[in-house]
Formats: sequence, structure tokens, C-alpha cells
Amino acid sequence: MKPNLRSVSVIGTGIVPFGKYRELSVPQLARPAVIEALREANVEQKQIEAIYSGAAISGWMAGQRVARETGMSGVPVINCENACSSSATAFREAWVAVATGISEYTLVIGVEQLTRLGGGTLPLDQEDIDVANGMVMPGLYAMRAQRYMHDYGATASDLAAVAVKARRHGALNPHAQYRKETTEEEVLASRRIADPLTLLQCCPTGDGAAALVICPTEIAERHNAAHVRVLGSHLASGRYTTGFRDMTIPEITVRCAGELYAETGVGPEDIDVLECHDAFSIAELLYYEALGLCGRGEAVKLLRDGATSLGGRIPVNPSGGLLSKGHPVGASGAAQMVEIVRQLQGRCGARQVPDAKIGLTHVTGGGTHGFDHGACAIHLFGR
Amino acid sequence: MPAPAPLKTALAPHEGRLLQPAEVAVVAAGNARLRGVQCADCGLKVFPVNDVCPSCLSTHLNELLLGEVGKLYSYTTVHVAPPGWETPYVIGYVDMPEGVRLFGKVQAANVDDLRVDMAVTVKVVAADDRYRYYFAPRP
Repeated sequence: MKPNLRSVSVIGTGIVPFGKYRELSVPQLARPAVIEALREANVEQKQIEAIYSGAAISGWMAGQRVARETGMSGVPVINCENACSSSATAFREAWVAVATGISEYTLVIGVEQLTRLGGGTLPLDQEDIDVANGMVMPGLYAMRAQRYMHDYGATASDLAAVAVKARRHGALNPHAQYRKETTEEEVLASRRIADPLTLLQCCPTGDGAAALVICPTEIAERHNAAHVRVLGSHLASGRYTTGFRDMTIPEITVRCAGELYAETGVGPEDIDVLECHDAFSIAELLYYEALGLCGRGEAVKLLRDGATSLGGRIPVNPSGGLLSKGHPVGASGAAQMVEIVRQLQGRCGARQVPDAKIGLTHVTGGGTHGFDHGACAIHLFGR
Repeated sequence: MPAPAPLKTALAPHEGRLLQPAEVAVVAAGNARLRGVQCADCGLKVFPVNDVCPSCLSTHLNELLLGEVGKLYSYTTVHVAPPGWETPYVIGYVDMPEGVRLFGKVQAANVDDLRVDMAVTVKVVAADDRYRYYFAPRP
């Protein structure tokens, strides 16, 4: 981290169980998470100096609409849309404001109501040439899977094993949308979405919200003795390529992680627990390699050895991840952070990673022509 | 996995990007090719045709006429798509020897005939007075 920046801590977290809440408004969906975060932070609404809100498809001014219902209207509200990285981007901007001394107590909200779309694949922009030619997000990941299987010999069962692990972890998380374990056979027998990906290898449509309160570390102690420090924050955008690209190397994640590791001096070997962007089964395998947990082509072995399961060397997605906890896109970054902060605080019950001291969150996403992905945000937390 | 429905083998009227006239070169009767550009200043190759180089912003752009054969980098059969798309259909990325990667629908009677890295033909077909493109395995 640059030496002129203040250390920042998370002093409050809030999250709602992910699921389908068609009957709620977006502010009603977010409100319990915001109230929980404020109470945990021991901060009153009037102390909040700014609100950074992340949402992708939940309408204009989600942040103001939530502020209206939670007694915080009037402060600066910054709404962030960055596809699946929306609320992680909001968190980063809040961190910048606190770290540079512009803001003290700052609220981050991630909220999304995907059920308002009525289900199916996410609506992509029709001006995009790939979308006009039939691209859908599961198709993009499926083509990565197809190439990865070709290049490294991974099998359909290997992909299914990612979903089995996600469900096993999600079964232990009261906030997860899917809390039932599954088997490789069941995953492979589920409905085809985009070959080789079946339904249980795709993140579900759902709604959710999460919130965090951050402030300078120097005043965090008086609000929450178990505050968790932000060790690093990095945001990257996709690099436009017109030519050939190896789809098994998610370049935006490789670059974002590499820059964050260099900035913080923390490496993959130092991380005790992490949440990554497992929007589809193949994604988790690619991100093991991109985040440096293992070498090229070694992701299946890492998974099959149990290293990334609870009880393993480096548990990945103890919350159940996007596959099991759910992926209300704009809320996912903040939700990952709530999970990692609580893991570092030792509050995660049956899915607790013992003695976790350093955790990482990784979201990316945004399917648009010429990019691996549009956005990627990676954060490191420590206690 | 449950058995898939039979693949559709033709482009429906609304499927596939309607190409702008500048994006197509009719090299002979019944033989249309895709047109990209190559920047005369920085060398970047771009498909489709662009009026400004998206990298160096130069307007000195030369035609990049794409050939008829490329290599299928990856593909998938899509079973769930937005309204208006009849499923299942196959999509894929095709690497052209001219140095650009194309994306579009792949028309194959049987998806089992497709292989990663196989040669495919780029079909540029007339749709009324405009054109669309798709890929097909080499006979």
C-alpha cells in the first residue's frame, strides 16, 4: 500500500439470506443488511459521511433509495455499476475516500434484485456484436470450459465436482440460496445450459444484499474490537484484444491479482481463506490458477485433493460461492467481503476456517466484446 | 446429461448480426467476404471495419480482407438463450489467419462433428440487401 494512505478497517458487516424476494422493493431488500452493519459497527446513521452503493440492474440511484429508507438521505451517495464487480467497486471507492482522508465513517452497500428480470440468462447489451451473434454468459464460460478440457484433459466430472464442493459448503451457510448437498451424478444429470455446463454448474437467479461500514483503523477499535483491516484493494478493467486470446487464462484476474500481490507484499501462499468469482463451475478452476493457488493445468488436482474444501490447505468459497450462496450480481462483491471479514473474526460456525488471519475476495465479470471480462476487483483483508 | 433437441441448421431471419455494407466485400458474384481494417500507423487489426483505430486513434486505416477459412478455437451448444433465439444452437470463436478472432454461430448438422482447432468455413450470406455471417465445418 502507498505510504501516504491511512489504514482502513471494516467495523460492521450485514447480509440477508440470498433467495427470491419478488415481493420486496430494492430498499426493503437492502435495509436489514444496512441496519445489521450499522449496529455491528456501533455507529449511528448521522455519523455516516458517505454511501457507496453497488448495483447493476436494480434501477437508478439504488443508493439513494436505500438511504431514504434507512435515515441517511442527504449525504453524498455514489452509485457504482461495474457488472458483477459493482459493489466491490463501491467498496474500493469507499476505501479510497477513507484512506485518503476525505471520509471517516463510510457505508458500502451491495444490492441486486435479479428476480425483476423474470429468470433466464442476464440481458446483455444488444449493441454488442457478440451478443447480436448469439452470445450468452453461460456460453462464454462454456467455451472456456471446452478449451480447458481440450488443453488440460479435464472432464465433465471434474467440472461437476466444483458444484458439489460449492453445495457442500453452502449447506453450512444460513445465508446461502441453495443449502442442499448434491452429487456429481446429479450435477451432470441436471438440465443442459451451454455444453458442457449443466444447470447446477451455473449460478442461480436470485436477490440479495450486503453492507459494510468502514473507517480509519486508528478509530476502529473504539467501535469494534474485532475490526478487520483492509490490507489491499485493487481494481482492473479488461484489456481490449482484437486478435487471439487464450481463454483458459483470465488475463484481467491474473493482472489484477499480480498487481495487488506486488502492492501489498502478500502472496497466494499467505492466504488462509478466499472467496472467488465462481459464476460457473469452470470459473473456479480457472481462478485457482489465475490467483496463483496452483500452476497452469493443476486446478483439477487442487480441487480433487481437497485443498480448496473446508478443512483443506486453502479453502475457497466457504460461503458456498456464487454457485450455492447465489449471485445477485451487484451484491456479490460486498457479500464476499462480509463472509471473509466474518471468517477472520471467527464467526462462521460450521463453515469456519480455523484461525484464518488473511483472506481474499475476488470478483470479475461483465461480458462485452473484445475483453476477457470488463471489470475485476480483488481485496485483501487481515486481522 | 439429458439428450439435446436437434440442432437448428439455418440462421433465422433475426439471428446473427446484420452487417453494415462497409463490413462486407463482394469479391465475385455470390462470393462475399468479411472486411476488417488494419491501422497503417500502429498495425492493429480490427474486425469489423472501424473508422478510427481504437488503439492509437489514427484514421489511416487499410482494408483487411478476411479469407474464407479459419480455425475453431472453441465452441458450445447453447440451450438457454434470451427470447427470440431458438435453442439449441452452436456458437464458437474462429481464429482467422489474418490475425483476428471472429465470433458467431456455427452451423453443423451434428455437434459431434465439431472439434476444437478444426478448420471451418466463414459463410457470408445475403439477407435481403444486407449480409450476415456464420461458420460451417469444412466439407
